[in-house]
Parts: sequence; structure tokens; C-alpha cells
Amino acid sequence: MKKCFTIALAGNPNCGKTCIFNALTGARQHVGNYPGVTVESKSGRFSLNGMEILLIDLPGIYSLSSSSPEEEVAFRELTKRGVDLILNVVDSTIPQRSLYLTTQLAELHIPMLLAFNMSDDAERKGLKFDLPKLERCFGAPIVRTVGCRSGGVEPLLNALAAALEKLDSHGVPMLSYGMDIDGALARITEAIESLSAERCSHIPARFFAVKLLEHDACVWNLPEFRSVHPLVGNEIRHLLEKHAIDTDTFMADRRYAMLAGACRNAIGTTRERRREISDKIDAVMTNRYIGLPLFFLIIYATFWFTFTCADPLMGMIEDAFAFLSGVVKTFWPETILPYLRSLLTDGVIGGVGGVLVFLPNILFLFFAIAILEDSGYMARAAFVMDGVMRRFGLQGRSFVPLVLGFGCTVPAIMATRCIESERDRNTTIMVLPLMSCGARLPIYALIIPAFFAAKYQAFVMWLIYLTGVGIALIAARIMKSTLFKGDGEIYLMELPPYRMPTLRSLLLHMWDRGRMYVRKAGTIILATSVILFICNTWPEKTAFSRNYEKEIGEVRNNGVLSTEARENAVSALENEKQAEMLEYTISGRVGHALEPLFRPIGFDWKLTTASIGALAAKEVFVSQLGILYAEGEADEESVPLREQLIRHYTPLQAFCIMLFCLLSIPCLATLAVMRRELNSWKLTVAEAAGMFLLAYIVTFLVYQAGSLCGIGTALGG
Amino acid sequence: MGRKDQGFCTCAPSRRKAREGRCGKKDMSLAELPVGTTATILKVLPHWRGRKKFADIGIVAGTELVMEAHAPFGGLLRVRVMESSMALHRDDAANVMMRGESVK
Repeated sequence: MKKCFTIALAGNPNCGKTCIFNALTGARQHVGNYPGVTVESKSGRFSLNGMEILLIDLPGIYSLSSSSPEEEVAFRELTKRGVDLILNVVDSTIPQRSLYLTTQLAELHIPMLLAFNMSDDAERKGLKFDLPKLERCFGAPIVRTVGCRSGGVEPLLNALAAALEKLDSHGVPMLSYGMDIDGALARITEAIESLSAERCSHIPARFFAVKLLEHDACVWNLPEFRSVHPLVGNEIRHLLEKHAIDTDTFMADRRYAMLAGACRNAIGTTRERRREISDKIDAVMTNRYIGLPLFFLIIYATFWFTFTCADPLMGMIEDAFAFLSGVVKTFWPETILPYLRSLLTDGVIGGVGGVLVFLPNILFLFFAIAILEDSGYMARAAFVMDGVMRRFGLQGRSFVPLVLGFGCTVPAIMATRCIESERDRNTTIMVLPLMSCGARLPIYALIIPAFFAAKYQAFVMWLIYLTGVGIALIAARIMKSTLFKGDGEIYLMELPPYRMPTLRSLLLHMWDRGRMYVRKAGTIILATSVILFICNTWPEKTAFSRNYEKEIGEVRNNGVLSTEARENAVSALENEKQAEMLEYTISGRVGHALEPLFRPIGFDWKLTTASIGALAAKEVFVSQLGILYAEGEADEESVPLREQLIRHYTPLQAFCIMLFCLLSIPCLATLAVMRRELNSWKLTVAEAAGMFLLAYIVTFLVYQAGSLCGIGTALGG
Repeated sequence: MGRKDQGFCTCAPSRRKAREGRCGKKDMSLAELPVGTTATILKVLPHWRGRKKFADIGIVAGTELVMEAHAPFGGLLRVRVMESSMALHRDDAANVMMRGESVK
């Protein structure tokens, strides 16, 4: 007997498929994307009675047509050779809706096992199933499960084992579309069989006949069947003229009628309860008037939870990395390969630490989001917000990621996965960097108090944030009418009844996202931080304009000065030396080389160099500027750096600096995640180039207009 | 609403007249169905690109559905069809015609 089996897991959205998948495979999952589309592919392995099983989690679909990328993916996966068994998860609380997909899966004649999930809820709802009758109808064994309760999948494991034992003797479904259609189907089936198309021979010709008759795009485009198109066309015309049957939708109609018949015979009901409770909650949650305020309250609570819980952990991670780098520094004497030593401690450990420090934030955030998703609230939030977001070419589900963008763009981009429409998701991802993230705050915090009077400070800050939001919304509109033009998918979203999320699925969700982030930190972000470190330190300057060593030595030995004055003079000299070193490196040289380009927007070479550093992380702009102005490692509270800035720049230039930092290319971590989620290098590069152009043009206009009108050219009160 | 008129035009005039005469209630599109009412689908307009997707979730002629809610600021409608709640767009719902006399 065969030892390895491939099982495809199919079912409607919200049928509890993910719960069953998690219960079967545990954490041994592989998450990726299907080629060409941004539909998440998930597979996992487990063993059962000595059999190795590969479980493929198909996207949740209502039908096996090709009206969405998800359905196309499912169609492709199922018609591919090599699927030994279909495990069809059915939400048994709504059998009519869920079994609709089953009618189509049954026609594939691939051995199938039906899992009537949430059977406890169905029982409470008063549904009684005549399982043998239903089994005969679909030609597949049925097992009751409770996917989200531990132990609820035990019967499923036994049924799976039994089904895999006798794959060869699976039943034949008894599905009929009525006399007229069955006649047409028989004729088309015969024609298809005479083609003997090799690629599709493992699937009965009748399946393709049905799909051709209902004008399914995927099957209609298969070159194998081109020669039967005229025959199908005739049959469709005949049915329309003779019986007034429009086959496009009539097949769906027949399937539902078939199910209504089957359900009448095999499913009895006594009362309905769960829906009522859910409806009562919804009367409040999606209320026309308090729905929106409630939504904002819940979002606020989510962020509060995330940042309050993550804060102490972030501190711990920071300390741990500082400790690690300290340990390396103690055991690696400064005299041996000093460059490699600082590359390892400041570049690698510092760079990775700087990324991992966000891990607690990401974990808690996705834990909170998982609660909203699994309980069913996210669909309500999308329902309530849709009207507002649609005016800007976005949709309800775009809102949460956009707000997250004020914290950090990386998790925000990862959160866009809940947006089903690819167009809307891509638009949301591409405008996200314009939401001013937390890392840009230090830049504003440095500049605003230096250049603007206290009464204007809040206003300037507000203006910067608002500029970002405004441009993001305009950009979304423009993108929707150009780059992502077209009708898009027909919008349909289920609002599932509220359910209590299980801790297990919440933790798995959190683990999933966390792992993804850490893997990113370990590869692309690590590489880029090393590259930027090299740019900022190499080539090393050995011959200086002044002999710093000697001067420092002279100051040290100067008996006239007090100890304090001596220390100050020494650190001033060291800072100057550092500034000279940075000017000599690749970053410094590139900054000098690019200065002519940046002059029209009010930047000198120091600002240009700092902008390059900001590619690693936006807040690096501040520390780079600190080094360049020979004030040592500065942070946003640095008073001497502020004094230097006031001496060198006008308020107009200061505003332009903030504007440029807000609008220009996002940090490399963002670009890396963006590339993954957009699943396209082209769009990512276009995004980076577009953002640079946007920043340049806007800053140019502001600077030139400001200079012309004489606004902010001198430091006022 | 231009869509509504378009919907009526595609109906055969004689049939429409007969329907109105019989019950006195006009057929309406799903977009116009008031919140809280139940009605039966008369038909989904032919040649509309979303009809198959709607058919797959049970929006076909003869199905009974309930208008559960309207989202704030226009846009979405919440409809109960085949025992589950679906959010769909008002513009799309304008392509679904409801049987006038079935409105409860």
C-alpha cells in the first residue's frame, strides 16, 4: 500500500477549516504564496497510522467557478494530478450554503470525506442529519467534528484513516440537473471523451461538460476543449430558446434546488438559537449611529493593549542586545581586526537588535488582530467603515492597516492580508508608507522645538501628519483610477456569527506572523544593515586634516585647564574627527556627489548623507546628523545639535527636511516586506522610485515657493 | 436612480403590467428593499458580470432573502441569504430584482 498521501482541504470561508488544519498539522506548517497571485498557500504534514500525509489548505471558496483568484487557485490545485483525497469541511450549522461547494467537488470523482464541522452548534441549533442518506447523495463518507475544541477532531482522524484504506472503492455521487440539462451534458461528455485529452483524463468528462455549460472561464480557456466549443455553444442556445434556460446561472439554481431536496429529506430542524444571540450583538456593533464610535473605541483598545504589553519586553530585548554586544567587545580586544569587531557589534548585532526590538509589538498586535478576526468582529468593522473608505478608493478592511501605519509600517503591511481584493490590498500597501510612522517621530521631535515657537509646535506636527494622510488618500484615489484601474471583483463578504476564539488558534496566528517577521530580520534586514554599516564606515580615513591624536594629547596634558574643560575639549576634538571620518566614507562621498541634485530642495551634503542613512531606519537620520555636526551620537533631545541646526538652516529648510523624510523612500525593512506582500519586484521598485519623486517634487515646490515669498527664510519668534 | 429604470426596461412590458395589475405593488431592486423586510428574488439582470458570483452564494430567482441592515455612509447592504449574512454593494444589488408582492 502507498505510504504517502496528498489531501486537499476545501471549504467555504468561515467554515472552521483553519481550525481543522491547525488541529491536524499543529505548528508544522508551510506558508507561502501561489505563483502569480497573492493568495496565501498553506500546507502541512502529519502522520497517521504510519502513513505520511501532506495536507494542502485551499483558500476558502463558495464555489468552484472562476470568479475570484481564490477560486481559480482552488480549481487549479484540485484538477492537478496527485490529490488522493478531498477533505471537505462543511459548516453543519448552515448545511444548504456549505453543501453547495460539495455538489461541485463530488463531480470531480476524487475520493472525498465530508467533515460536518461545528456539529455541537448544529445540535444546539436543533439540526438533525440523516447521515447515511446524505452519504449516498454525495458518494462520500461523513464524519461529525468540532474543529475548535481539543479532541473534536479525533473522529476525523479515524475516518481519514478509514477513507485512505479504501480509496479505490469510493462511492458515486447521485447528482442530476434535470432532464433537459442532463441530456445536453451527456452529449458534451461524449464529445469530450472522444478527444481523449491526456491532461484531464483523471477527472470525469462530465465535470468539464458541466463547467463548459455554465461558461466557466477556467475550463473555457483550456486549449484541450477548444474543438467542443461549437457544440457547447449550440447546446446553450438550444436550452435558452427551447426551455428558456440561461445555463450561466441555471446550474447554480439547480444545485440549490438539489440541496433543498436533499436537506428536506435528510435534515430535520427544531429551533434556531445561535444566530439570535449574534444578531443581538450586531444590533449594537453595526448600529448606524454607535457602530462607528464603537469601532474606534475597539481599535484604540487594541493599540493600547499592544503598546502597553510590549513596552517592558522591548526594553528587555534592547538590554539583551546591548549586553551581547558588550560581551563580544570585552572578549574581542580592540587591537585585533578592529574593523571586523565593530562590524559585528555595531553593524550586525546592532542592526538585528534594532529590528528584533519590534518583535513584542508585532506579536501582541497580531494576537489582538487574531481576536478581532476569529471572533468575527473584523468583518463588522469592515462593514461599518466601508462607506467612508470607499470615497478614497479604498475599502473597509483598509482602515486597520492604515491606522497601524502610524506605529510601524512593517506590521501594517503584514496586516493587509485580510483585504481580499488584490487591487484594494495593493493600493493600501502602496500608500501605507505615507502614514507617518513612529520612527519618523524623533526627526520631528528634534527639529520642531528648534525652529518653531511653542505655540506653533503642535500645529506644525499636526500639519506634517495631515500632509501624509492627505497625500496618501489622494494617491489611493489616483492609483485606483490608473494603476489598478478596472471594475475589480464584485464585492461580497460574509458576516459570520460571532464565535469565541480559541487560545490555540490565536497563538498559532501570532506565531505565524512572528516567525515571518523574524525570518525577514534574519535575512534581508540583516544584509541591508551590514551594507549600510559599511557605507557609513568605509573607506576608513587614516590621514586627517589635523593631527587629532597630538591635539588631544596636548589638551590632556594642559595643566592650566580644569578637568571638566579638558574633557569637553577632548570630546569636541573626537567628534570633529568622527565627522571628518564620516565625510570620507561612501555615504559622505555620495552625499557630496548628490548635493547639486538636492540643492533645489534646500538640502546641503550633510542632510543628503543623513537621508541615505535614513534608509536603514528613519530615526537614523537624527544620529547621522549628530555625527556630521560633530556632536557625537545625538538623539532627538540633543540641545547642542539643535543649536547647530539653528545656525545652519532656516525654518523653511527645517520644514522641508521633515517633509522630505515623511514622503521619501521608506526604510529598507518596509521595502522588503512590501516586496513580499506585493509579490512583485516591479511594483516595489516603482513604489520606491515614485516615493522619491513625490518627496522631491513636493519638497521642491514648498522650498521654492517659500523662498520666493520669503516665508520662513529667517528665524522668527 | 438610473439603474432602476434600466432594470424595468429589460422586463418584458406585458409581464410587468400583469404583475403590477395583480398585486398593486411594484417590483423593486434589492438596493431599494427597506431594512427588516423579506422578499423573494424575481430575477438577476442578464449580462451583468456579477450574476454568477451572486448565483454561487444563492442569489438566484426564487430565493427568499432578508434585508438586515444598511451600513453607515451608504455603500454596503447586509442581506441574509441561505442562512448566512452577506455584505454586498448597493450598486451591485441594483441588478437584483425583487418580486413586489412578496415584500413582507
